[in-house]
Amino acid sequence: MVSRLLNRIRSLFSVPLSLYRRDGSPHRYKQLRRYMAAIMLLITIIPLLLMAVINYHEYQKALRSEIILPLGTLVNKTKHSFELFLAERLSAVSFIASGYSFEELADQNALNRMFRVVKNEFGGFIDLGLIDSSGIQISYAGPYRLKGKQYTGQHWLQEVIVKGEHISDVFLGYRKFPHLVIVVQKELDTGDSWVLRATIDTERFDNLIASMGLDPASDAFIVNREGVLQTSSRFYGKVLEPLPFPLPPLSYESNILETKDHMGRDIFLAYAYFVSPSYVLMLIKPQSQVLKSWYGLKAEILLIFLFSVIAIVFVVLKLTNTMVKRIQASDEECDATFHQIEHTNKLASIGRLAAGVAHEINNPMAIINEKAGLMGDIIHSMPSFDNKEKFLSLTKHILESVDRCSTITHRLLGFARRMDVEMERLDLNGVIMEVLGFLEKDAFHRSIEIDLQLDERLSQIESDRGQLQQVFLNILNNAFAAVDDGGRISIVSREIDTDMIEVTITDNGVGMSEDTLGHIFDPFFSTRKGYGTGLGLSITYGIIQKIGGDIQVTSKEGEGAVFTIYLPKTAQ
Amino acid sequence: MMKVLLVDDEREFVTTLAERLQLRDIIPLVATDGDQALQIIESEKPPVVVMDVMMPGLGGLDVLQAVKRRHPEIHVILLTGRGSTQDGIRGMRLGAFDYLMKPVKIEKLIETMESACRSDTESAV
Amino acid sequence: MTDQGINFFGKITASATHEFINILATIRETSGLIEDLLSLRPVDDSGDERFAGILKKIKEQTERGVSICEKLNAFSHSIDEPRSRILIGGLLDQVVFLMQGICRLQRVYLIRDSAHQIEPPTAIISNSFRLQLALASCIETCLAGALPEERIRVQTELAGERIAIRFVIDTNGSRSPQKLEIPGRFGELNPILNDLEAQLTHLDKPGQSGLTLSLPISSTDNTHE
Repeated sequence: MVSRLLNRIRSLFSVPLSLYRRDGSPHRYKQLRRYMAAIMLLITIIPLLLMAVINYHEYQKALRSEIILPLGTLVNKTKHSFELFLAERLSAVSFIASGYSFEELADQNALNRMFRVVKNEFGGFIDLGLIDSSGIQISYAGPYRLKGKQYTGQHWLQEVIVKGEHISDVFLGYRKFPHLVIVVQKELDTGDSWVLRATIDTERFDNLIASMGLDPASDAFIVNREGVLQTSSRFYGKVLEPLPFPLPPLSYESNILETKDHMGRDIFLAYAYFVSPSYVLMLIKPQSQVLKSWYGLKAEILLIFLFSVIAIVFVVLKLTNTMVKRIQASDEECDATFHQIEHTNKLASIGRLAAGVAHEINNPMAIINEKAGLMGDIIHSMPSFDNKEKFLSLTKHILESVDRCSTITHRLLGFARRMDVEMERLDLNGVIMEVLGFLEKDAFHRSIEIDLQLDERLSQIESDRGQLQQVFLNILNNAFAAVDDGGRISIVSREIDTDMIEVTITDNGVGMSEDTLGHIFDPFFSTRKGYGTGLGLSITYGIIQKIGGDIQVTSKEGEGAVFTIYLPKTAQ
Repeated sequence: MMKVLLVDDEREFVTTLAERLQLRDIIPLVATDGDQALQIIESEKPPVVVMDVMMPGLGGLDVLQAVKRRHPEIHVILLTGRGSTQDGIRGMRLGAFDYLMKPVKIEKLIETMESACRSDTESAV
Repeated sequence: MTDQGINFFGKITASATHEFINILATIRETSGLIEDLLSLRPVDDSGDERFAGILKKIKEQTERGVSICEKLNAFSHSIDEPRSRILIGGLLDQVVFLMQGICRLQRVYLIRDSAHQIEPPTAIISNSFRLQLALASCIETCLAGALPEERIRVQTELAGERIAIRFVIDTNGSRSPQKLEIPGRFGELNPILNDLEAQLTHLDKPGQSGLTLSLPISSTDNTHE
């Protein structure tokens, strides 16, 4: 099963062999391009996608812990601060209650003095009062006139009698300020109990909450176990109002919940229950607040991802395009080189078609030539022919027309031949010998001496036989035309460095002037005798240039000429 | 008087040429294909053969090779309308005396034929 | 073989054929003049009958030359456009004309099979010169596999969105068909076939050897050189 799956995957990624076979069809290259682009895109985009997804989750996790964990810590710390604050105050009251007797505390001045000290040392005390066993405040230090007030039935009094010490919830007292009381109970030897009561200003509470350093969208407050606010909340009510939503589950350690508040907002709720008093510290951060930065990050990730994908796609497409184009170009070059070197199985080429054209038109022309010639012959042979000259000139006219046709045909063929380069590996000396064979008769009749120094070890060269023949034929024709009967022409062939062959054709004919030398390769430049008859040498020059070689001439009038031809061994 | 075999598949051409040569005291024999040419060569043994290279069936170069094998003393002058050096050089390599382009000037043709006959006497010396 | 080269060849050939036609016209006039002048003379010179015959022949050959040149002219002008509307029938006539001489040299006769042609005449859009080269190549391939006195028949047939041009070697039933050797992958023909979006296959008719060249009637534009 696994192997089958692997095979499936492998087949997906293996490029079909046919794409490697260069049969030149443009469709193949489109396919190749598509495959390459697809694979490159997959290879680059999949890891990128994976990374983006992983990053997304990691960031999410990190963000949550970075923002959320501190909430819990903050709640803990703040809760401890609160507890400390209350514990300190409670200790102070306890200390006073333990350190002084009922009688001492009943003394108003003494109480006043104690109150002043404790207020200065500790802060937060509003008043201090001593309450006897019947619930009457018998001495009081503080801003209000509460001496003699009866407190029996008050919740805190009942609590303290039971528990020995008590910290109350916040409540509105005189002058409508929220405060709480700390009470400590002491027993007399007589069995009666008395209570020391201190009122604490909850302004400190607000300070403690303010010290949490919350941002304007967050909210922290304390509620009691009944859900009544003990401090003012920013969003959820003033002090002593009920919290509009239910309390979270019991937890003395800080806990963080994701929940909704009464308005349906998604919030983070960090809280901790106090052991004593029975408060709950709650810290509320709207999720949107927390997540604002997360959304920003998410948008960033998405943007970068999209941007990268677009850039990747663009680059990949461009790259594959360029690469495939290069492959195509080099394939075409390769094919072109192959078909040039492969000279068997050549098919219809321009040269052959042109030759066909020439042959077709030549036949009737040759016939007209003979017919008109015959007519001329007949008239010529008739002694008493009236107006002989007229007729002869007319037949001559026809013959001249035929001649013109010939010239045109040769021009056409010459051009067509030059268009078809048939590259093959050939033996240069062999080509030279072939051309000489063509001129053999002429050399023999005119007793022209041909001196050959052809290097036998010459490597084969890659070139077009027809064109090389033309080159040598042209130059040798010129040499023949330049020398007198009995003259001498020498041909030397040798290898110079690794990729060039040099052929030197020297004659002892009429030579050329400086001036002629300068124009010898110009088309249609012609001297009266000898070199450069018409088009020959300029065509030679053109051919040599095209095959990547070079030709140089030196000559002195009356001293013959030297033509040096350089040919590259491999086709250019 | 020189005896010459003319070989060309264009009948009008070869018969007219023959007529013209006759006016110049040359005895022309005429063939319109390679096989016929070889037959006439066997029976008449003309010293000079003027032959078109491009002929259907047995081409000029094939006949040339056959002639040179059996009768090396017979001179063959090739004619062609193709105008490429390839044929010329191949022909020379195969033993042709010379190579002329069609349409040919009759004077040039006769000069070449005479030159071929002359080469016999020269080499004989 | 670049498009430039092809165009240049077309122009050169066109100018050559135009000149040929002018020259033929001159010859026609000149021989016409000779005829007129001869007719004005008293009828007594025995040579005159021969002249009539000669002049007649000259006229015939001149006409022959003219008709050849007209075909060559059409050929050279067909080279000009990299893409043009081509009448298949006309193009085949042209190619058969150009290749006839070469076939005749091997005593093989190249003919258009009138029994198997597309009616009505169909046109395609393509590169005329390359198409002619491809067709000429097919003919040469068949020629290599034909014996003297045999025929190569050129047939055309419509096959859906494509035209099939068949080259059938007609052996007169004298021998069994042999598979032709289509030139190898790197032969000159492949780039041309690709350019034309053509397919070259062996003839699929039993008992016959030959080639089928299949062309799209309208090809996509892929001339980019």
